[in-house]
Amino acid sequence: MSAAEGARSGAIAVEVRELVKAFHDPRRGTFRAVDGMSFACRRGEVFGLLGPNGAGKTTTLRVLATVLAPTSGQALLDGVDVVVDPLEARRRLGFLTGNTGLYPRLTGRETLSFFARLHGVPEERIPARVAELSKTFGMESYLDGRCEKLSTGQKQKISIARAVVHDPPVLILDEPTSGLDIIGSSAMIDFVAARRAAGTCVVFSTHILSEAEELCDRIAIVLKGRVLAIGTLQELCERTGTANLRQAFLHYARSVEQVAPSAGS
Amino acid sequence: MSARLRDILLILRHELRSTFRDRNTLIYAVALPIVLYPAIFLVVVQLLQLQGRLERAAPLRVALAAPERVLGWEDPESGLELAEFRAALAAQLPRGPEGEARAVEWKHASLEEARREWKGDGARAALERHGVELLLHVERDSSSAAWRAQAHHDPLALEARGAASAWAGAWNALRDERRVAAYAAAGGTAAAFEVLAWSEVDATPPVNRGNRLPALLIPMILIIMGTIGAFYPAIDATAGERERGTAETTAVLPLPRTYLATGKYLAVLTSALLAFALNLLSMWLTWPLLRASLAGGVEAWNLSLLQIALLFAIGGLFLSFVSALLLSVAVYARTFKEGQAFLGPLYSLCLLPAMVAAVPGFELDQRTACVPFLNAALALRAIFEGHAEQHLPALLQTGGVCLLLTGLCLMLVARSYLSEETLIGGDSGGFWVRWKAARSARLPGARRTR
Repeated sequence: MSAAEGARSGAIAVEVRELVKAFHDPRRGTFRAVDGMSFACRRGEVFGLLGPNGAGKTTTLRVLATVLAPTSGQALLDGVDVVVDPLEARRRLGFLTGNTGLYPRLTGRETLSFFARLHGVPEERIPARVAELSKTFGMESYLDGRCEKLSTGQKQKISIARAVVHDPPVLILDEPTSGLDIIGSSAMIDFVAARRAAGTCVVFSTHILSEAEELCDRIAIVLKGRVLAIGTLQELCERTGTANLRQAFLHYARSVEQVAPSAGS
Repeated sequence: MSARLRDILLILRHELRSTFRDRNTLIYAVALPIVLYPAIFLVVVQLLQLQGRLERAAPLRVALAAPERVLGWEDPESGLELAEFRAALAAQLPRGPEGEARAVEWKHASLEEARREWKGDGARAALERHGVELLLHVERDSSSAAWRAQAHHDPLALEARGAASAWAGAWNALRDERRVAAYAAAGGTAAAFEVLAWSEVDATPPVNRGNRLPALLIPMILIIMGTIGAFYPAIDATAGERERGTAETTAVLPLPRTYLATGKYLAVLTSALLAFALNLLSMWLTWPLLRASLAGGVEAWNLSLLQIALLFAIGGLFLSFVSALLLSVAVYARTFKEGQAFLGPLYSLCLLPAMVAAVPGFELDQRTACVPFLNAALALRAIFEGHAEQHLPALLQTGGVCLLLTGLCLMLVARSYLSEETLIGGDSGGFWVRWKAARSARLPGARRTR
């Protein structure tokens, strides 16, 4: 099924069930960065994980991307269990974070060709695909320069092209506008909107409320490794009786703060 | 071609491209072997020649204490006059490369002074007072009637280096000349002195004679430079990747981590082998330069095809172990600097046994074949010396030990490369912590990323 067809059918592309990820820390002992998180998102949908730093957003996305193994629970990417068949899950995934840097000594063209090859794009189609992406993102003038010599904006464009070179049905973006200037952020927002239009399921994490308001079809409010609420912007505001996302988020955050002391006592 | 091999070759090609665009790797694996040996040999040769020229240009300064007539046997008056003795002795000194006589600056000292002062600290003071490198006391022994020469010098003084042996040689030559002359005067023939001739014969087969000096030096150099060839790529492929922020990019490639680790390992090994081969080639090409400069001092190498094949076989197995060892440690480093801090001491520690191999007395046998680094250095030495056949079981054992250690190190690499602990510094707490966490939540047990 193509991404566009998937969007029309509303097929579930990402499903997370009771996900737990525990780490061991010498001072804190064993703690759960993700503590029973569940959500699902469909093709053609932009799904946002909204929460402060340390809420468990990045850990969740890393489990989805098979970088981390879950302690328990289940994560499915396009119907593929990320623990049972991580390679197939990676084939169906485009992953872009602040930590997914570019190989500095390779040119942009070499980078895109390398990823296309490893993701199984037929050899004869690779030059055309690279040219297509180069045109889409306006990279023709620097595609043959080494990545280490490119500007931040140029690197960002190659990173995006790298993540979608195999046209994945699921795109995971972890704080994609972090560290970017206004022009870079706008380009990223435009890119996400374009992927939604193409039927890709986009899961992205952010702590910037305006981004979530502008881009997300649905938002999950995440705090202390748990999902507190999921819904459209309108649904979240209605449920909390607030006027905007900031107030809705604070409403849920305060409810957790109130519960925590009583739980402790 | 199978899909597995194709994927590993893709990773290898990618890693090689990245590795050989790194300046450090290019310097240590390619540039250094090509430039280092010609440069070292040229400098050494120039320094030796310069030293020789300086030594020959400066006159030998000697203070002589001797009677008025020297070296008379039956009748003291039949000896040489002091001036004749000086000239005769100086004539026996070693000559320069073009046959030129060595200049001598004579100082006079009295026999009284020599007998009284040239003892203990007095000799050093006399050397300074006369401004010479050597004090020569020549006098006839009153009890045996023999002429004795006693040289006082400071062996640690740079300017006196070689002076004592030159004068000793001159004295012995003059003594023999005088003996022959005395014997001839008594009616004998000079040929009679040849009845006690001494000669030495080299027992090494002529084909291997030129390999003796290289056999001591080159195995150690090959091991050092081959290891350096793997040093930077090993850090670059692991810690460097984490520092550049590309480790997570690599982790989401749709390939098993073992393929990725294998590709990286092969790239490190390629760099090490390249450094090894270039070092060997460079030394082979520049050795004649050393030979030509040190006339007659150094012989040519002579390696058969079998020896070359064995060198690469043992060298290859050794470097396969070194590459895996360095990678298995570098995989835990978070930054390039940390990688250097991890591997630096390990590198020094490992090379000690290789240096021991240059010490005469160590041979490749079944015990030394078990010691990593020492075994490879001794094996390479045995191959250079042309003794490979005699050491065949130990050579095979060396190869086996290298293979075994390679396997163990690669297991460590496969276990740790891109694991949660090394990738993000996170600690899932090992099996027991994960099991307890899962048990407390009534959840299934621990899992690992693949």
